[in-house]
Amino acid sequence: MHPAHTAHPAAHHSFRLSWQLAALCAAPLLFTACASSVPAPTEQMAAAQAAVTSAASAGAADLAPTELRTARDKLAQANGAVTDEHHAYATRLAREAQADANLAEAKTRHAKARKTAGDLGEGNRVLREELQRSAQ
Amino acid sequence: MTSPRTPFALATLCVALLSACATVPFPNAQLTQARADFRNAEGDPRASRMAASEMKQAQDALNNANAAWERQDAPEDVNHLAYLTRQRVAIARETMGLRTAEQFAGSAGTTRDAIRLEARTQEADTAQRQADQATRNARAAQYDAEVARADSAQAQRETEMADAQNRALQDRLRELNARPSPRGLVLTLGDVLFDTDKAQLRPAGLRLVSQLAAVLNEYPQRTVQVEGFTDSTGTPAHNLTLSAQRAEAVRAALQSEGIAPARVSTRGSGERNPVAGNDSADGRQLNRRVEIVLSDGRMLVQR
Repeated sequence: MHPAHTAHPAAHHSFRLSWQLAALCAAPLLFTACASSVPAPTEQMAAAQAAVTSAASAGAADLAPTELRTARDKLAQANGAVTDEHHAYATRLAREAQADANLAEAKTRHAKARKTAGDLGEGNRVLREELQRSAQ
Repeated sequence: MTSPRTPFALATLCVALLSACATVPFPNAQLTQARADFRNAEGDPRASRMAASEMKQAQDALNNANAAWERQDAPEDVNHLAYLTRQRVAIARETMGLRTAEQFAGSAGTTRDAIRLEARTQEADTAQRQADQATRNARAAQYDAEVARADSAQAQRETEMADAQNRALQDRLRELNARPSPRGLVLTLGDVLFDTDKAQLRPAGLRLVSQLAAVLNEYPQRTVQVEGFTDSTGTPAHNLTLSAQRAEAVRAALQSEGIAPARVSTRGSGERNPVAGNDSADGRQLNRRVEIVLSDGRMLVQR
């Protein structure tokens, strides 16, 4: 799963233009990013952290390890972005981390229910076989 | 792209690039994929029934993404919202799977209860069958026991009857002065019952034989062995002949009283097996005799 954030503000430096053009084009964008005065995504960070904790306690580490790892990675990146005061980027990362954690938990619950249903079906099959055997 | 030569040219190009981005919203791959994901999930008949609230969240996320794209927001924002949409759709899909599994588990529980009920019914039937069989077996055993008891009682009665008959026979034969011996009850006809040196039975002898015949007629399974003996006077040949003739005379007399000849065997033993000394007249008289041995298969007469 590829995080959707290919567009970190710093990535604008990678445009293959001369340094003048790069400076000219990137400066306003950088400025707007910093100047938009997006507040630190405290709420989103807390929600993402809660979602990760919930998924982990549901057993996602075993049943949806990829999604859980993605969520944790993004949450860590979000923390880093907050430190760097890239608040918009941190907000996106936190929201995605929350969605990833939610998906990890949904996958985990689905897998558990599927296992339970399979066990019950198998149990019934065995039970029916025994019944047929004892009926003979 | 070549390096622009003047700041003016640079600025012009920069503005042109930015305005191009702002005025012509090129298709966003992430958003296109998110829309497709949502349409697919919405097409699942379970979507509204099992994951209504998750689909609502997905729908809201998609609306946000579409709005951002139409507003020509920055691609990273559109991508971000499209990504959130795709995750919400995935969550809705997982929820459908979860509800399906739960539904199956619920029906499996019902099925299990039904199977268990069936099993209990079957066990009860089996138990009833076994109980019925046990009852039948018990009745059969009881019947067998009764039959065995009856058989045993019958056998007991038969034994008692046989014993009684045997005792009666012995009593009757004792009246005829029969005495027990290893061979059976022995009835001795003394010399005086025959004519002297003849095989002819005298009337007293015939009476005794007649009494014996009456007993034998009552006990048809009995057989008799008639054996004649003499003293040592005279030639052995003569003695053998006389003893055999006397035994034969007894058989003839029994036959005339209705006893089948097959039940009577005879033998002449001459002067063998004396019961007394041949050196006195009394002894010789005792030796001249016919012995009638009564026997049957069970040798009861020996008692």
